[in-house]
Amino acid sequence: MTTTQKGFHADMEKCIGCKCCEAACKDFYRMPPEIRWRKVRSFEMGEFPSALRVHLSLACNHCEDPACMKGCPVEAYTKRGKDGLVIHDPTACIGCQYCTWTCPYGVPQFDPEQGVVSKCNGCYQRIDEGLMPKCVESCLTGALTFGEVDQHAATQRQVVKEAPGFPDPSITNASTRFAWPLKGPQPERQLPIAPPKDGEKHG
Amino acid sequence: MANWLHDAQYSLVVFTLFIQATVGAFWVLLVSDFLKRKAPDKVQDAFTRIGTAILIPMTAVGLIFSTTHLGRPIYAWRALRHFETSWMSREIWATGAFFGLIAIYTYLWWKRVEDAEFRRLVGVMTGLVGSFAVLTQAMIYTIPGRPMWNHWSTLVLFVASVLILGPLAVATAYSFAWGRHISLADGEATVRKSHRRLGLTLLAGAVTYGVGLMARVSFLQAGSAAAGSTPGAHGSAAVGAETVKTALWIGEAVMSQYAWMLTLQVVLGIGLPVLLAVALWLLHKRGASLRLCNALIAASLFLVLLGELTGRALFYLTGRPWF
Repeated sequence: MTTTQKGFHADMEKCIGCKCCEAACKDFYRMPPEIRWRKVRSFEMGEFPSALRVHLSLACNHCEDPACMKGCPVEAYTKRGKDGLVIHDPTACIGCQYCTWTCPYGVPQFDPEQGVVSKCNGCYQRIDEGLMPKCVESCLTGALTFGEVDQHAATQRQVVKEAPGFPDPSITNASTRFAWPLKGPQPERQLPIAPPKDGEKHG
Repeated sequence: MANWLHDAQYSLVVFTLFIQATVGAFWVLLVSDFLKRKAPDKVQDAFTRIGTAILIPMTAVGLIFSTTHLGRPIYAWRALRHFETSWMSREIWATGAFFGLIAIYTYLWWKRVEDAEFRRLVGVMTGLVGSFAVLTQAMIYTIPGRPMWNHWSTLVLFVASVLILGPLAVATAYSFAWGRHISLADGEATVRKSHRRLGLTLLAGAVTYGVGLMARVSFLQAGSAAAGSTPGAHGSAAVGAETVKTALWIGEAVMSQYAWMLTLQVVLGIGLPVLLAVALWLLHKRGASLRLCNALIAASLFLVLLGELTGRALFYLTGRPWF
């Protein structure tokens, strides 16, 4: 089967840091208070007097070469063939927490109450039903989108692999892509923007 | 305190150090097994046999502590599943096999002592598997996900623990046996000889530990300094490969925060073994009482272990989440 890697695209220009994505995810999956599969990080870019307050919404990056899956001693992780989503099976997990070390992005989180790790599975059940992940669906500004990496409509403005503070994506070939704020420092490298596919509207 | 112990991964501190100490102890016993191959020495045999008695309890302590790290220890066996790519899975295979092999080796010493060639064959296999177990332990932490550990010094420090703790544990077992299971007169020459070898091994271990620790400290300090001159790296706004500098900066900051632990590690983990090696050399040169030497060795084992436990805890503390 040919994998069509899917992933999230986070537009830092559009994100207002409302954390609706975080809340929707937590609510949908009824997570305990200390577990957040999606986290919105806020930080400063640039220098005074043109410093910016920027927000970055991140969850699992569904990497093409997932370090969590390679390191997991119990094979609790699988990568779906059809869309490249990295799925964690908590029933197989023994709570060794090694994935919380191997993942550079701090994605897997240990729940001491359950004794297992959990992470964003990309709402794969919803994807299979033709729906969007809960976080994407709840985003007020359209900053967070999901689809085929580097190909889906929201990537029209800008496609960048790196984001400020985001650990080197080349370690695992993270599939999350970013668009940087219009003002302030600009990324050194951008990926070419793919032409729209038949029947798909950009913008 | 509970949170600090969790951050310092106390269960993994004990697990890794006790397995490394056992591997070191095993190699000492195996070498002594081979050394008297051409010149049979019943007294040395008696010491080596008693020395093997420490192997299973030490490994058992390590293995028990390893399970306390798990959220669901009852399913620990599942960790054997993924040896194709997971160093942790390989570690469990290697440590389990090491445990089984030392049990056979110990059995052969105690119940079939006449079957020396077979025992040595098992011994060589055990030594290789044990060494592989130490390698797997180091590889577990040599990962880009935690840049503070992702350095060759991790392996060097683990090997240094093998070289220091193992021989000290065996020497303490010899001290215990001398006068109890082996007569004072019969055992004196063997104990004196073992002390000379202990001194040399400790010096080698201390040098290895010193090289590893200096390399690790320099690695973190260099990364931290580089972060200072990289826009955004002293916070959360470095980009791409530059983010590694943020991780090293965090590691260095933790090391500075726990400077007392680093000091204890240097004094007890490196300084004391060197001091003991020199003291043993001087004491034997002056024909000092063996009881005094044995007391010094036993006390040193306790203090060196304390230093190594502290150092290993600091190792885990520096590997803090960096994003």
